[in-house]
Amino acid sequence: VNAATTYGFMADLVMVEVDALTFVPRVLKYAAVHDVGVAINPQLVRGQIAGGIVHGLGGALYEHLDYDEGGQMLSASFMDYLCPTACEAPHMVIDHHDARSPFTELGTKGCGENSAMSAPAAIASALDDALSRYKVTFNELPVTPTLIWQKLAGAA
Amino acid sequence: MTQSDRPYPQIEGRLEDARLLLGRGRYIDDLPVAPSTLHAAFVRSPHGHAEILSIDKTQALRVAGVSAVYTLQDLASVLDPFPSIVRSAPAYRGIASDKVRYVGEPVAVVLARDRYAAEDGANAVEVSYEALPAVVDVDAAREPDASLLNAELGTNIVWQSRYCYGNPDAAFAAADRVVSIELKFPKYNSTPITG
Repeated sequence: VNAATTYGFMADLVMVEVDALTFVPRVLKYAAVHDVGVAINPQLVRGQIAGGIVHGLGGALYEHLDYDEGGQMLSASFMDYLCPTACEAPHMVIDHHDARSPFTELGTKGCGENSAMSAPAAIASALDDALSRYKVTFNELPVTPTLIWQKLAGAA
Repeated sequence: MTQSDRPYPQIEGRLEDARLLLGRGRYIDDLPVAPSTLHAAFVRSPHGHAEILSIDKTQALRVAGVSAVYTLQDLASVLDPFPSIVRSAPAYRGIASDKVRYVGEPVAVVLARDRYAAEDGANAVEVSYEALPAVVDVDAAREPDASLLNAELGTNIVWQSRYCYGNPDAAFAAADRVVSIELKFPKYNSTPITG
């Protein structure tokens, strides 16, 4: 599948902190600049990007459809499957650098999954950076407090 | 680009907020239904992977208020397989045939005068299974001796594709530094809070 005519572009910058006692990670600030081409409804584009950031935040820090060896789902309710809420949503700075697409009738590009795709990598990389003095890297998601504790214990 | 260059009217502001925030939203469940509308309840697989040996509807059909119990056998002629962009994917009609392949897979559907009778009917359907090893890990699923979800395919790999743009081999050969990384990405889904 090559959907090249509707590719959008984005750059994300993340500020995170990790609680030194509980290892709970938190995204304090999230900046995203997007090139979605011509925005037909800029407000909806902003909403889409904000939603994408929080959706990506879920994959980065909280959400995981977990199964046991027999295939029984272990995270079948919102008690076990953590979704980010307004409380976890970071302060967001959203800006645009919209270059008209030469390939589409209206000059539009895709923005459907926008920061939902980049947020997991950006947040994990920000955590790598925040904990760089311990030389740990996160190659698996979600980065839970347990995983951070395990990594730091292994690095000690 | 200036506003006047745009070939469509600019839309700002959401028109639906007041309705939703004041609790005046209208949802599928709010729509009226005909008085004779039946309610459905599903009999679902408790196994991650199992062969269905038998499905006995007898007791379910005796539950007061139950009108019908359907399995794939009853519905196959009126159900088209789900469309799939993967051409080699086995045909699937949303309800189990000879096997179940995930916990919660529908095995039978019970129709009744209300939800209570439908649920009672679903509980009374007797399904006999022979459990098979479940396949829940991507790497394990690719092993040659892995339990096959679709024996007719001979593999658990339903689709794979490699993309190549430009000349990556030359680019890697000329690179000052090549980094290799193995990433584990969780399975996570959009999760509606109402259903």
